[in-house]
Amino acid sequence: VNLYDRPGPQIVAAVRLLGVAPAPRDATQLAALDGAADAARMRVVTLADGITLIRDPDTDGLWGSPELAGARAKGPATDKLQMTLAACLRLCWDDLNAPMLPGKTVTRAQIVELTSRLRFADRGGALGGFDAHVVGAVRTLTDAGYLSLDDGNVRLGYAMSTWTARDIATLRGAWDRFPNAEDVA
Amino acid sequence: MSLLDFGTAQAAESAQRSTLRAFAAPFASGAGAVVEELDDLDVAYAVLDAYGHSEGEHLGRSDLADACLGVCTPARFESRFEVYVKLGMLVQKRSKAHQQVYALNPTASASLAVMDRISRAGGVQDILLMLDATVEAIKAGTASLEQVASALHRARAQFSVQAQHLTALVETATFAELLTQRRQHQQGALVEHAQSIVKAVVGRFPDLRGSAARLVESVNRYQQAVSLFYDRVSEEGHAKRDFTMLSADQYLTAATRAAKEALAAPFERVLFDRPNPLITAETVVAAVDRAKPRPVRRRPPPPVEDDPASFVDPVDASAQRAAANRRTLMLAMEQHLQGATDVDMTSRVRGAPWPAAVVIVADLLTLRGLPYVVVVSDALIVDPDAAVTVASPIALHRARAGADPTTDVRGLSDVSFVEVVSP
Repeated sequence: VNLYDRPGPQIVAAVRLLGVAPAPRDATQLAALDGAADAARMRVVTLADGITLIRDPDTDGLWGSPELAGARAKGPATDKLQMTLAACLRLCWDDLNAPMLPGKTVTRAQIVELTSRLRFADRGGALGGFDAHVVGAVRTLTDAGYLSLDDGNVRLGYAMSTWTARDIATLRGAWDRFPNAEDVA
Repeated sequence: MSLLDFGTAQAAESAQRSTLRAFAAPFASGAGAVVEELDDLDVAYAVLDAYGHSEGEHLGRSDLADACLGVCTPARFESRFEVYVKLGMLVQKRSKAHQQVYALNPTASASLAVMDRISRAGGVQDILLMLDATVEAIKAGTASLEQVASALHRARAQFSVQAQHLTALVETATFAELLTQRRQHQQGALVEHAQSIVKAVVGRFPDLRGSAARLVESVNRYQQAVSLFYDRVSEEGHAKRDFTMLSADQYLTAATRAAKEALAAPFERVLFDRPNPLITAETVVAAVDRAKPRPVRRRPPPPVEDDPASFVDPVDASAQRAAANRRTLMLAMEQHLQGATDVDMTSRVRGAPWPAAVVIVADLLTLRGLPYVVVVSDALIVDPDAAVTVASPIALHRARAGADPTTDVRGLSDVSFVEVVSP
């Protein structure tokens, strides 16, 4: 079944479900994809192994009107998610001279260890139940495409490849401040 | 108000009007005997409310007109008032010749209550009330066989009529009309109720077994019509995705009692989008900076007050420092005097290198509370080649015995004596 023969909303739904979809093969398919993405106010990002659709916080036109933006009041994700992703980034991309992707594969246990000790470094150790929060954060990040989880092994997901060179430069600049396995050991 | 709500409201009003007409038909003299506007019913309710608030007092025409101000025009009230008086709903009481007061006939208020119940709960509840009253009479031994037979017959006929009515509704009515009728057919466990009545009847009058069995049959038919009715309501409601097809209570019951699979069924064909947390490189870096443990502030250790040896009184310490300074200064002056009472300091000042000369003069001029007198001349010695180019003759004297060295002529305490004399 060719994905791009479908109506626009179905193309968007399928791409969101797949995460990374096969790239359009000809101009007709490309037009169908662009039309579907425009209608859903999403952005097409070309990756090494296909394409994906992301919501752009700056051009998320579907929610762009002031009334809806106020009702939604979407702020940055919780620190729990951000810190877990920061720990994953530091573990999977441990050599600044190498490109960020594909990065190394680490175990979920390593991420839990690093994140939980960092978050509560000023309280003298992890609190009970916090490990479960980190595991939940890893799952949410996996569902959102930031991580890829395979049998307890974690690596960076396709959504990370939608980050621009400027984003990568920002990460490089702050690299020394990121949680580090040696620091918390 | 949405278009559908508007349709439902219209259908409800129309349903209430037809209920009212049908209700009055058995005792109406003509087709125009029933009010056309439902607002007229509000006038009757307003009159009833006025008597409710009057605490047993009879009310005059003007009292009633006031009570109806909010629901109709004065002209409309006059016309309704005439009807009420003519038909005996309001009964005139003679109190005073110039003041007419009226009482409300209790039958009229009962009629409003019955109308209320029928338009809310349909006629089924009234059939059951009648049958219950019959069962009570049987138990009390006051019901004759004919009376019970007649009651069973009438109930059977009424259930048949209800069943026919519902079947016709299912076939012809619009969805909005169905919704208005929904509440009138929510009798739970109707068949069980009928069976208990039949049991009571047959126990007392075995001859009425056949008639009672036919009653149960007609109740069953009515119940089937109710099922058909709800099937159509749910079918149409489902097709239109109209959530008003069930009442709020029914949704609550479904939420608490229904199986997980049944509750999940409506979402079988719904796709949920991936979570879309707002994460950018900037927000990750900001979170990292927030989460860094804060540097520990080191406070100086608190003074150990338990050990008396380590305790130093700051006032004592200050006094000791002052005494040490005083002693140093006196030793310096004695060195200048070399045991004599007077010494001319001029040559020493002029002979000293520059900073040392200043120290000598400063010491001499700040002899606070010490037994010495310093005399400075206002003559001026200028020597361009010397380290001290400009100096005045200055002499140091030991204070005379008896003189109080701490007394100052200008009223300032603790100032050394400095005399300025002419050469």
